[in-house]
Amino acid sequence: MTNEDERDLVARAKADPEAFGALYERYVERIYSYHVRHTSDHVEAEDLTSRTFYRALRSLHRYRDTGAPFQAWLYRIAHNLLVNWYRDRGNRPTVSLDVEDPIPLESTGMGPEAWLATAERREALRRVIDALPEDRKTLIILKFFEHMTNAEIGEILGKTEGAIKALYHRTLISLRHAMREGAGNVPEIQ
Amino acid sequence: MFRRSSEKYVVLQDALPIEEQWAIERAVIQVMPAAKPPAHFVSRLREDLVTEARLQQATQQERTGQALKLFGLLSGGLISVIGGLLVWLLVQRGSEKAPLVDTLRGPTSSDLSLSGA
Repeated sequence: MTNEDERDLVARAKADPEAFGALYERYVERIYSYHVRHTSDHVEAEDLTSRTFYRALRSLHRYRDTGAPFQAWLYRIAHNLLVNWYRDRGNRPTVSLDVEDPIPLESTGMGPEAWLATAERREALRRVIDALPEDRKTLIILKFFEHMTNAEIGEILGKTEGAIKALYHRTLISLRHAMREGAGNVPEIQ
Repeated sequence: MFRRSSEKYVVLQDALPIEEQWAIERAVIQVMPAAKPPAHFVSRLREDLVTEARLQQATQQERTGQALKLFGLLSGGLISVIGGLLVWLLVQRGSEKAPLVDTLRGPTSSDLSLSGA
């Protein structure tokens, strides 16, 4: 779907419920994944995904096409809901025990010790990511998984492109630091 | 409050080589795999949203209808008042002009005949 098609779909969705349904289908998996990556909880992710789309539906008549992609607007709603979610939970980091399935030993071709070490490293890195502040976590999710530009991420987080660049750099440095030295002795991940 | 410059600014000599950035990215991608929403959740939410959108549209149409009705009533009332005023003004002007016309026209033949008599 081109940008033109998407613009057309968004315009139609303001008046046509079925067009809104099509718009929902286009984004539901990505928004759900975004929430799961933040919350590490499928139930919470379902709830946040529902709320994101309900809020989008209620606010769609206010959406103005300013040239930024529609997804930036949608992710901004998702981000605002997550900010509230983090605040309600008192910024307590979560542990992703219910989301990540360990990679089966047979499929890796590793010996049991190497497999265990990798699993531990993965779990430790996951803990480091979970402990990141909300905006940094959002940044790496949007950057690594959604491949958004700094300008688009800035639009979502309400920051300038330069601020995003600096934040990204600091996040990488802290991840490297955690992977090399601290946070459960996380060595370099392959 | 005092903040160290390394906290405020990007320290250039600390820049990460691109290979290391990729390694971090790969590591993060490995530990945060994509999660697909359950199919029943996706379809149920779609149905709920479309229903909600229809309801919202109907409410919107109803509100628009009510607003148009109210606008029609108000503008109808306003037009009636303005029309009434115009008619009243015309009548007033007509009654003011009538004696003047009479004066300009001068005495009628009946008046003359009366005065002659």
